[in-house]
Amino acid sequence: MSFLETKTMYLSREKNQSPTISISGDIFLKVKIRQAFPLSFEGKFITIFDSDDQYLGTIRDPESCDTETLSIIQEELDWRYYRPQITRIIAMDTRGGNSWFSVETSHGSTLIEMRDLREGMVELSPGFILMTDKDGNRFEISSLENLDKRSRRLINRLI
Amino acid sequence: MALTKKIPDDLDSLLKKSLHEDKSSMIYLFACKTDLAPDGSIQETMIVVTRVHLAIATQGLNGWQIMNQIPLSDISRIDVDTLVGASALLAEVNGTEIRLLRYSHSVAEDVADLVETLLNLIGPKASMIDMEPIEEAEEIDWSSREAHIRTFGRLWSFCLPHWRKLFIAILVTIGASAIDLLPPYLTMILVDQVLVDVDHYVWLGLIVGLLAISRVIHTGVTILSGRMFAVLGDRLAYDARTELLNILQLLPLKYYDEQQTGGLMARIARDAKSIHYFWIDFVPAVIQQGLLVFGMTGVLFYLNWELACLVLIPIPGIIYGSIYIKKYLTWFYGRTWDSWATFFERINDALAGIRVVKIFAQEKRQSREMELENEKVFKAERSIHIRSRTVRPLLAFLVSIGGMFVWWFGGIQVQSSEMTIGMLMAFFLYLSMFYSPVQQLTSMADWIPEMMTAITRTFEVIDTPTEDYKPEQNEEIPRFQGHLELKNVSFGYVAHQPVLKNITLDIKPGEMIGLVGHSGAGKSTLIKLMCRFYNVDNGEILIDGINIQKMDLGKLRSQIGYVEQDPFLFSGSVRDNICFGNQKASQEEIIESAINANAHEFIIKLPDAYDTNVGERGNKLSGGERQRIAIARAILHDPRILILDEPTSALDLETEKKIQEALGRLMEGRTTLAIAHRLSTLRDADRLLVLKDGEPIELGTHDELIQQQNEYYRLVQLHANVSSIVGIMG
Repeated sequence: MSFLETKTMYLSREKNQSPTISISGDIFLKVKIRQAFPLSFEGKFITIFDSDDQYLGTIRDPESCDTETLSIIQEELDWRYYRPQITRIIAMDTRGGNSWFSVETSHGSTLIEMRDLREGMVELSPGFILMTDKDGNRFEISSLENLDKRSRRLINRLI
Repeated sequence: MALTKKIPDDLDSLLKKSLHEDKSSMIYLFACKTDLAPDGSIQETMIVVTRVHLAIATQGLNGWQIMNQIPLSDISRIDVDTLVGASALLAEVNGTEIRLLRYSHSVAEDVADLVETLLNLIGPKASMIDMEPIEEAEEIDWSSREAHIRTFGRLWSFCLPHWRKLFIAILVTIGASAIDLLPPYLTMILVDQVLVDVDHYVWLGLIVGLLAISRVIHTGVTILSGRMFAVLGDRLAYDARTELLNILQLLPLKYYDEQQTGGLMARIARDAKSIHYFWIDFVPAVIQQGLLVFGMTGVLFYLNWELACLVLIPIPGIIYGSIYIKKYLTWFYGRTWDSWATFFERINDALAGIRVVKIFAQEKRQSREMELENEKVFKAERSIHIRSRTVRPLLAFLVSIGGMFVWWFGGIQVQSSEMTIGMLMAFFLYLSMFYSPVQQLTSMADWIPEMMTAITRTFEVIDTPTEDYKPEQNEEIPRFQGHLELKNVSFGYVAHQPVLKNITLDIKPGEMIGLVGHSGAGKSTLIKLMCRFYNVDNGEILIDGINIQKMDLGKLRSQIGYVEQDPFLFSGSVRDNICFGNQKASQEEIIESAINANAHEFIIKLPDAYDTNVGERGNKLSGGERQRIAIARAILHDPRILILDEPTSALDLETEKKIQEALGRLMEGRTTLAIAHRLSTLRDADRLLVLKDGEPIELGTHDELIQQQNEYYRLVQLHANVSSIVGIMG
């Protein structure tokens, strides 16, 4: 396990392409950026893999990186971790064991269908809820407190 | 190839305008609907492939907009990257990799088809010979209302074999309802015609006698009806459990990959029981109480239609309230079920892992976590009980309003001699009986959803497609010679993530092939495909020239032996476990197979020798002992093809030696596929297949591969270094 020195590494990229990393002068093209703790320490402990998916190292805290590197990391995480934030529950219904949630999210409105609420709706920490639909798509309520009163009341029936 | 979505007319005109292709020859080869625009927003998006272009269009507020259009001749590679919560479509355009768009998992299979189509159109092997123009695929919309009706239909279909008993039970219930209508009418006669005169002792005796007889008959008929439905309910619950248990054995491994054991146990234990409640409580109540309501409505209208109309005033409120409560309470019942299932799962985990808990001294933590789950069950149960206990009295209050009307208007009619006191009494008696079944029917409203949810869950398991045991093109298979062929085999657990790519291999009868590679290289997956635990996505696996997908699954597996790294033993005796695959084996055959497996010596020293109970999962035996029993089990099964999945890892040297000897005997004359991390285990292999990232990269004997000094050589070197380190430390 190697932690990367943020002073000797930086990321760069061409538009719409995978980033390139320089670590102590060594250049790796088309690197992949992943999080070690995407749910419990989101945005910290960023791991870097080369184009062959070989592990290169971990950045403890990307805040200590230069501005461009930090910005690329953020863009890559937004690209790799697709979890629209639920901003409002419009309606919910249940029939025949399946549940439907009509929701507004940070990425637009959609209908979430769940086969199993127990598997699909998990409160990871108080007020932080991860919803996974029947196809494995993920949606997030990062803070129950940020939802309107009606949405909160509806969600509270389930958790 | 018949291809998916129809292109909307407005998009069609836009594409024709934008792509500048010859309009007469512009043909759509593929169109795929996705759900995320290139910027990640949730919008209807289409990926369209023509003979010349790949185009991506998104539907916004102002109609369709083309986001990207790339000539196919510029694309040299197309790929899928699985992200978290979505996937991405990538393309190499003029030597540069670009990200085309992301899409949700819901459309992953359509995009996988798109990729497959594109692979035929791009690069040096591009070919359009087999491509046909687009056809709109048929879409099936399964509405949940249909699912609900199916659930009811299935419940009745369960009853068909017992229809005679059901018919008699229903008749008896109808009889009980009819008798129930008699006492109030007799009471009216008693009050109005008998009690008014002092000398009517005979009539008094007769009416009271009739009342007593009707009560006796009613009691008898109710007991009979209750008992008949109880027996029927138990029988049907038993049938459902049996079907469920049988189906569980036949479900593909893929199903178990996606399910938690605790949840399945809860379905067997609790959900199947709901079928019992449906027949014992729901059906008799609906018939009996429903008939009473209809019968009494008729009698009330016959006695006094004006008063009868008043009685019906609260009914719409009761019906509306019931429907509302049903909808409202369903969520809470779902939550209660979920919390119970999680609770079972936690207990299951805690008990199965009790040794680990104790060795890490985590008893307090485990207790705390279980207490938390218990608390969740408590809260879920409390929330449902508080709500159901609140709504029931409110409904009862609604019901009582009818009584007020009867007192007021009935009282006026008695005072003005338009109605007798006896009739008013009869009215009240009917009224009390009328609202009672209405209340019972409404009180059912809060458990119908729970019951239906549980029954639907049960049917969901029963309706899950089982493994294809007898394919349509079922070919007769004799005893295998053991000639194995893999032709361009590719497979992925999910559509767009191949775990094995293009494996081609020819294994002669009796040959031993060692599978070598890092963890995750695809060795175990290849073995699972051989056993047909999963079906290949592309290519075929042949045994003696017959595709295994055309074989009777039971007959195929009966000729394959499987010894795994941590063999599973069933709770029962050593003997039961050895003859698990061959129940008819004689005692001599059992002992002989144990001797060949180097197991006889330790078995005979066990307190009850072959009759010793091995405990749950064989936990009363050591790892090496379990392994040797598993080998004895495989020897007795006498397979033609043998699969060894790291059977000697994690054993001490002496035990490993004994097991190696046993395996040597087991492999004699059998085609063998063996996986081993310890490369020394594979020293007897005729050839070795080296896998890397799901692809075959080397094939040959140990000596040939060592000479080549490639991947296998590196693995041997690594293994030698590790062994020397272990040797030094040891």
